[in-house]
Amino acid sequence: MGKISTFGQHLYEGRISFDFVGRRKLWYTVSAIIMVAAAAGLIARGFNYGVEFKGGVEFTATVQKADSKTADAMRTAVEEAAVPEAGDPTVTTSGGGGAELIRIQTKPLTQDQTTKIKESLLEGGATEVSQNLIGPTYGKQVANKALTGLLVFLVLVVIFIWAYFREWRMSVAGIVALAHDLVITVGVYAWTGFEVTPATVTGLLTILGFSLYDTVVVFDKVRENTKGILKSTTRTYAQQANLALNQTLVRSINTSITALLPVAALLIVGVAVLGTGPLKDLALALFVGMLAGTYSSIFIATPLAVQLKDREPAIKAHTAKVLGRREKEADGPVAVAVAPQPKRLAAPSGAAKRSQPSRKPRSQRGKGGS
Amino acid sequence: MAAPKTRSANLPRPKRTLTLFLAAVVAMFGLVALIDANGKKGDDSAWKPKLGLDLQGGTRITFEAKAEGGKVTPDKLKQARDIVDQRVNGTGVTEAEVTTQGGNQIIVEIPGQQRANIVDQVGKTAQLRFRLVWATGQSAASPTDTTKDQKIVDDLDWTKLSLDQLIKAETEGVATLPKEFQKGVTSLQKVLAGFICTKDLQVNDVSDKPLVTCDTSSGEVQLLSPTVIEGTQIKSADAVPPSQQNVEWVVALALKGQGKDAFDKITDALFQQTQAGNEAGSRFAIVLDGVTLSAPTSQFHSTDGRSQISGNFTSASSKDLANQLKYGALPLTFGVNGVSEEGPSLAGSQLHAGLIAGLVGMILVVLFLLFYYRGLGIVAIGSLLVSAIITYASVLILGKAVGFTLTLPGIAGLIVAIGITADSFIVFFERIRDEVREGKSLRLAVEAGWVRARATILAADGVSILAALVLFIFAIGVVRGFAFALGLTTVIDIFVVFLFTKPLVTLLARTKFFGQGHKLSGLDAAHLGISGRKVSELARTTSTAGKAN
Repeated sequence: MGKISTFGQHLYEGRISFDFVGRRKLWYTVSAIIMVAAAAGLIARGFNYGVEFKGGVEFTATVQKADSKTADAMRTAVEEAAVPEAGDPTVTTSGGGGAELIRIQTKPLTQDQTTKIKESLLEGGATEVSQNLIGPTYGKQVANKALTGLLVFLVLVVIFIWAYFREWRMSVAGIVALAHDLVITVGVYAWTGFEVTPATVTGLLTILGFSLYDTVVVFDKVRENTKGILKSTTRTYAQQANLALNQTLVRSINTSITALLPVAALLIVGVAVLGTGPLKDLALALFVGMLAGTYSSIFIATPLAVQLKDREPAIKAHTAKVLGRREKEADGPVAVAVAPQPKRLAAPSGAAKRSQPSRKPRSQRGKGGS
Repeated sequence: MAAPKTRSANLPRPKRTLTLFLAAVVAMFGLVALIDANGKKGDDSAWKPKLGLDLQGGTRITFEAKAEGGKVTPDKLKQARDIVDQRVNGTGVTEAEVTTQGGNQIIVEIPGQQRANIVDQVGKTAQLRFRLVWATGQSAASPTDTTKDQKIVDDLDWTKLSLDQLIKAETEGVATLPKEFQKGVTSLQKVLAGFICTKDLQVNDVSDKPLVTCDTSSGEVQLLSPTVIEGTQIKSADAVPPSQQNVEWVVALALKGQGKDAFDKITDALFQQTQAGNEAGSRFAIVLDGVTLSAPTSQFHSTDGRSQISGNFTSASSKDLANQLKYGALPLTFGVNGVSEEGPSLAGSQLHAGLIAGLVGMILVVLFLLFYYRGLGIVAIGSLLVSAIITYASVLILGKAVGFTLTLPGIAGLIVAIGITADSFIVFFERIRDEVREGKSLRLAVEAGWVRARATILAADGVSILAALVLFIFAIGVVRGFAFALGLTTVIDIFVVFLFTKPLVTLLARTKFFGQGHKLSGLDAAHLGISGRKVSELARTTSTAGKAN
């Protein structure tokens, strides 16, 4: 019992530590491979655009049982409507569970033609017919508007992160991680052939929010751990940032689980019960994007922010100083430096918060400033 | 010095905060009850969330302003919206909602019944113009290729002709037009001869060029002059029942501005022809989207821009024409960009599926929180429940106040928000555990952990709200409903964490179960991985330290 939480404690103290920052080249390589694969999917397969992007009419016929027989019946019904423009429609069955549905997609039609086909479908055995007549520009408009929103959002977020963390490097790292998540999600759509609809666009836009949300939480801990880092002589910026990642790891995992559980439910219900429609399109984008978002906050955003920060002369000099000093002491592994902390603080408990003359000026915990 | 201050500000009053918060929640439902008591009963009850068309079945029509119809300004779009609104409601549809979207679109939403046929009534009545009837003919039997002739007509600059010249061509024949236009006239007559009049006629109606079209109800083919009065010049149009002056229904028309002067001139000339018995030379046509609605003769001379249109009208047909004239003057040209019609049972199954997904997601999150956080999980679940209740109340109130409707993407937004809401608790709980690990007693850990978690939660929720706001402002269609739901729940999350979760945890930290680290509280020493120490010991130390304070 309690093993998971002991794990959390060990992460917190630095007794168990994953080297996220130090092995960044490995993560960058992994991400680069995934992103190349995603881009390849985009080039090789492209998107399976929904009717909203192509323009046309989509009929959804509710039938007693959606199988190949009723699908054929629906196809025949379309032909019997005597609308030549609707020739050779795409007919797919979907559903199971609650609804038995057959989807019929045709080229763009006029209102009168749709009405004719609808009547014919009802005669052909459908109990109810929904129709969706869409101009070819609708999806593009949604996408264009979304793109405007995306650009505005990016600008605002760069300013927001900069204003909150006072650190443009974090803005840059956050945006790179965001782009990373978007590319991967888009690649998954290309490879799986899931339809790209306005709901997908919505999902992609939500990833923006979530990806940055996650990054901000992690960065917050990094900032806390690296506060006054230049006064410390035992740990480098990169090490403190890595500790922050380890300390927030449990949160990251728990948050991902709680965020992904409902989205998974949405995805499963969307695919299994409805078989089609906005829920499915939205949920896949969210599921992939949220996974990528958690991954990128830990493996991409923070290592990149550290890498950028390390170029700063002051940090560079500090890192060299700490490393040089450590070499002199020869031994003294990192964990030892942190582990005594709780013991030392345990005795006076609450009073430790206030005047502590005995306490060494270790501002790396960032307590005094808050 | 900041920490003790925060402590004294927050510690003593968790009960009061909780009481006030719960009172506010009760007040929200009181407000709903109040709205419900004053409103209509049945389907329109304030207790039922307003559902979008995709969840209750209905028709949504998207009209998009065309660029060639002139510059699309917010003013013009709003004017057009009002006209479309009147028009939709004029067709007898109740509860239709007409809104503008994205700067160039008008959305008509008709819930419940499936009314895609309304497109014809609303969408087609777009551009109304007055033209003079230069010549008439019969519908041709077989199609002839008149593209060459049409090109000759289109190439001429008909705007050079004055109103007087146009009228003269009407009263004395098209042969009176200047010489340079004669080849155009010849071509027009060829087009006229080869014109087939069908029910669903599509004619390219260009305002300043002559037009060959027909009256689809009578089947008469007409050669019409360039526009003499635009539909936008109509001030009012009303159906007038039979009276002493009129033996049958007529449509009374009032014009404004330039149209008034032009009409004065036209009726003056045409009325003289009527009196002279030249019926053919005294007709003008009211053309709607290229199709002649009516081509009456001028029965009197009008000098004040008032006129009556007569001609075998019934009560219904005169009202129809009056409506078309009145509302026909859309300031923009619109095209139908999409019609979606959702069947009620299909919509119902989608609502069902969405709710199932929400419920399943909620249960999974609850199970996970209980498994991992034990006793604290109950706090999280309580907070999620409170969030759900407030969200429900907000949806109800916003539905009544600003017409917020719950759509499928909206439900998806609410489901996604479960994770974001839960994250606030996780950040808070992890911070408390961190503080306990540092050696603080639980009561102090809660306060210290809160101070740190607070900043993180606000920053993270800030990004979320920023995303929702930007999406809501810049996006159209389904994206907006989603963004609204997401933004709403993020705001609610902040309220719940600050005013419910935090005070509740503070209160619980004072209990024996949590404060002394019961095995199931989620804060026991073993669970936190602190070996060799007990949270209870620390708690006792704190209480003495607290007294010394």
